[in-house]
Amino acid sequence: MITNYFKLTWRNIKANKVLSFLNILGLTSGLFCFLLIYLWISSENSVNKYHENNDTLYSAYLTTSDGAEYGYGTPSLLYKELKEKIPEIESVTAMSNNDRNYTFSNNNKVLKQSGKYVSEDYFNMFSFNILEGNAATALSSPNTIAISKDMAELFFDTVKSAVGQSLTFENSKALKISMVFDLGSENTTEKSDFYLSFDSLLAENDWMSEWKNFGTNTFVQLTKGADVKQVEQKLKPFLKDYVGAFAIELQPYGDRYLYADLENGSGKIEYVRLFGIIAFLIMLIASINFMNLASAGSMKRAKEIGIRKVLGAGKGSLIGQFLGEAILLSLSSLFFALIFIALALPLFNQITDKSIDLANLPLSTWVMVLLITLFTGILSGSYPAFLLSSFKVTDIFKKKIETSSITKLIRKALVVFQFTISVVFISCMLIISKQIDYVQNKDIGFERESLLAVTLSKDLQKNYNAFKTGALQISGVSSVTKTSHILLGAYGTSPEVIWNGKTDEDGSLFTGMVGSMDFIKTYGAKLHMGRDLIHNNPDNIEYLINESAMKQMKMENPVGQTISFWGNSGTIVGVVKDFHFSSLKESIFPLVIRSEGYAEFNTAFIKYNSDHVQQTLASLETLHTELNPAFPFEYKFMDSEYNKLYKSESTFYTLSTFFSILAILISCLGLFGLVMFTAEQRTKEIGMRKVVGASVFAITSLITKDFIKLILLGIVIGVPIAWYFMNKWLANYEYRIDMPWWAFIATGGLIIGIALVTVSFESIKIALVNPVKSLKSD
Amino acid sequence: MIKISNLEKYFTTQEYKTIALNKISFEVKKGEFVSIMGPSGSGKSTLLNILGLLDDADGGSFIFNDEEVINYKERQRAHLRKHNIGFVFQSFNLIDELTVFENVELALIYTGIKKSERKGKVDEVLERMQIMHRRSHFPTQLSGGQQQRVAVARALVNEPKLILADEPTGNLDSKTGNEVMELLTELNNQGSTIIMVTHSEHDAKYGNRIIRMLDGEKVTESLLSNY
Ligand SMILES: Nc1ncnc2c1ncn2[C@@H]1O[C@H](COP(=O)(O)OP(=O)(O)O)[C@@H](O)[C@H]1O
Ligand SMILES: [Mg+2]
Repeated sequence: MITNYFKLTWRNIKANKVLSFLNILGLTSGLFCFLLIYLWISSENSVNKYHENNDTLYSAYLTTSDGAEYGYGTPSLLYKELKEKIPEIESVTAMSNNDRNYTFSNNNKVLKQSGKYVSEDYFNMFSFNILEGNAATALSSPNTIAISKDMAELFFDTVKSAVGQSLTFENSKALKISMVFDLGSENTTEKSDFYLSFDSLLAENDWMSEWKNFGTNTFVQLTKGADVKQVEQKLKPFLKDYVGAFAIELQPYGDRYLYADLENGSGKIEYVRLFGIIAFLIMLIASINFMNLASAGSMKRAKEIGIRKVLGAGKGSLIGQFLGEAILLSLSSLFFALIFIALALPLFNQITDKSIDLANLPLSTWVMVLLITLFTGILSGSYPAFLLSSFKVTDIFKKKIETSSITKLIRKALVVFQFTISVVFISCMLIISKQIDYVQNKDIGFERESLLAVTLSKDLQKNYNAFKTGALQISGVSSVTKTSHILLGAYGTSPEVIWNGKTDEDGSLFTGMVGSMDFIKTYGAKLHMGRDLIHNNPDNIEYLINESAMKQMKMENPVGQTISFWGNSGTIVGVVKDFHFSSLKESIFPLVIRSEGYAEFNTAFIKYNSDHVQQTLASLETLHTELNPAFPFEYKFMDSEYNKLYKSESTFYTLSTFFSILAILISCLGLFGLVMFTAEQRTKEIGMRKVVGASVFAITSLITKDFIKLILLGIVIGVPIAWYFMNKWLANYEYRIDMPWWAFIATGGLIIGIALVTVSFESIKIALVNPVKSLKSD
Repeated sequence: MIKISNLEKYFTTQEYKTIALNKISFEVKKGEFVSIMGPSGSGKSTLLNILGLLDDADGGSFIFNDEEVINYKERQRAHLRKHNIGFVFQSFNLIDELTVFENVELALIYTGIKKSERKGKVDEVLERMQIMHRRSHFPTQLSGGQQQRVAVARALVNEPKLILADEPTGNLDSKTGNEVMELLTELNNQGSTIIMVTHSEHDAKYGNRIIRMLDGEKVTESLLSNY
């Protein structure tokens, strides 16, 4: 029986080549998208969850007295206290908040590497593949360092020979290598080249030991079987004795990656959900194709069904047969989809910054893939199966089966649904692209083009003046400054700005940064009034404020007024026109810029002439090497850094464009098949019409009209849906485009265009057939 | 073998209610060869479909092998059908994607006969229908007469007690038509009960009895000499 089905399925595929091709192509494309997204989602879901202790690892974060999340920054000494005072906590580690870039050297190499400070328990809590050395004691003695396999290979011949050797740290002290680790191919965000002892960091920075300074990350490992809820209950009041109104809470370590943005629970998880929905919808479109094509093609198979029924086939066995066929087709589609995925993965990995490898997937993923495919087969096969098996034999042989009006309605509804989804996809894609375009080309109030950020390593901070003088002598350089911030991030805000006339209850928040001479000149910001920063004298502090700050302070003519920021009192010398120093998702905040004073900055900004960039860079490097031979020359282009702010949007856009195109393609495949069948069914009618004189055009439009109506309906339904979602999405941006109406018109036009081509291709073919032929058939 | 009394069948379409069978009654004994004649639309096919348990009636009684089957559910009818009844249609109704052998074999598959047994049975019946040399051809590669032989072979392979034929020669030229009629007569001689619908007086005379229908009713019933 089964072999009989296989045989028949295979022969049906051969007998209806076009239909089978459309079916397999549609399902293959659907599965291709779906599985690609599935692989991406499962990869996103498993990030950082590979640690053996995953179930008991937590990140500590703070909440304020009103329950609002404050962030992952905790007091630096917290880890010691927790381990002592909470019995359910087995291990705790502190970790410096960001990767830090340091210069390492040995006899022949000088290289910048990035890494972190961690405390003793770190390597016991988190899983590392230790190649050399002892994890338990790696960082317990002073001036030791644990380095990655890659870093070891950069400096030494072999990993083995690295342990016990020394590296010079920041051209100042020698660190002994105690351990070499490897993260291999783990799905991890931990990309540190090295780890240093957190206790040494504490010893060198007294301020860190103050409880009121938050900034260190604390990770805890609970004892097996400990109840997180209970531990959290104990942790809530824990900080009371140290720093007042903050409570400690725990987040499963593995959740941090997806849910990092504590404040509004968004972050990566939003993209995961969004792509999940896209994957589901595309699979639905593909399944609908299959259903529609199979039910439309059922007329062709009616005879076979009738004969089987006459011979005693029950409804069950017929349903089984058609489901079996659908499953067989979906399995073959899976096969093709996997081939395409294997081909597409390198590019996909590059776009999404992943390293998904088909050869490396866990069994569970394969099981899921298979289940999903089977489910798709069953989902797509069930409607035609029930439809076909319910035909009455007597009707079949009397050629009395007409597609029932309900079947026709379902078929139409499915087409409308498909095109609704396509409309939503494509118009969203257009709008997202416009917004990204807008953001990337917006005049943000300073000139990010031809602006270079150069790292001021150690000696260069002291020699900044020499560097600036030297740089200005290079012909391609027009201006140099340095600031505490790179003008491309989310900054903290503080109420600690005091001005004349500030009331006691005024809690206005300001962003503060420190700048230096030529701030406005170098950044190309515009002055509203006053002048640029000139003096770097701690006894004569100058302030620049932006227009928003001026409004906030309610000052008519602030130039010359005295203000104080974090206790540094000085004079406002200028008001700068508002410019964007954060992502366009945020509004421009009141900003105060204090002249340098004693601050040591690690970044200089250089305005250069875009004509001879390579030459300018080379000259800057020479200058840098002269002044700072122990450190490599490091720079970033500000415009590309700016575009990186919108990297996730760009990636999302690239991928969704691709998926939208596939969605419309799959929908058209289905449409094409449907037109084919309609034309087939109406061969006689069309023949008659031609006999009585209908033109090719009249017949083409006769067939086309019905389908275009459905597509129009899809557009009418799809546009408001897209509008709704895009309106919500755009609301994320403080600075955004107006909802572009043309995008919907363009989408409509595009979809009608594509559909017209699809439909008329087949209908013209039919219309051109000699009527004698079509009347003879049957 | 078959006894119908006051059998009724209606078709309701949007506008009309058609009485396809109007309280028709007759009996067919085991081993008979009955021809049913009547003008187009008189209800012959409808009757044959009900006799063949492909369709249900709207009233009356239908006794098949001493059993009242009028209220049988689709499942029961399918069961009775595959073990007892073979069909031959005017338009052959072979599955184009299956070979001659596979088309005939299909009837055995649904009665659950083992693969090893199936081959013997199919080959035997193909031999008998003199179509063995075409066993691996597809229906479209055969002439009309050959296709009808395959259809008859398929109707026979289960050794049904009753063979129903709806205008079996309707799509054949008279020479091939006669061959098919000879075939049916032979089967009847070997003991099969046959009910055949036909438009042809000539063909009808192969039977031992003719039932004439008009507007869903039996009008006459005449015994033929060879009864
Ligand atoms: N499925 C059906 N729906 C509606 N009317 C039908 C159907 N099948 C048959 N009829 C009607 O029932 C009557 C008998 O049809 P049928 O048994 O096919 O006649 P015959 O085979 O004698 O030509 C006809 O009037 C036909 O139109
Ligand atoms: Mg008939």
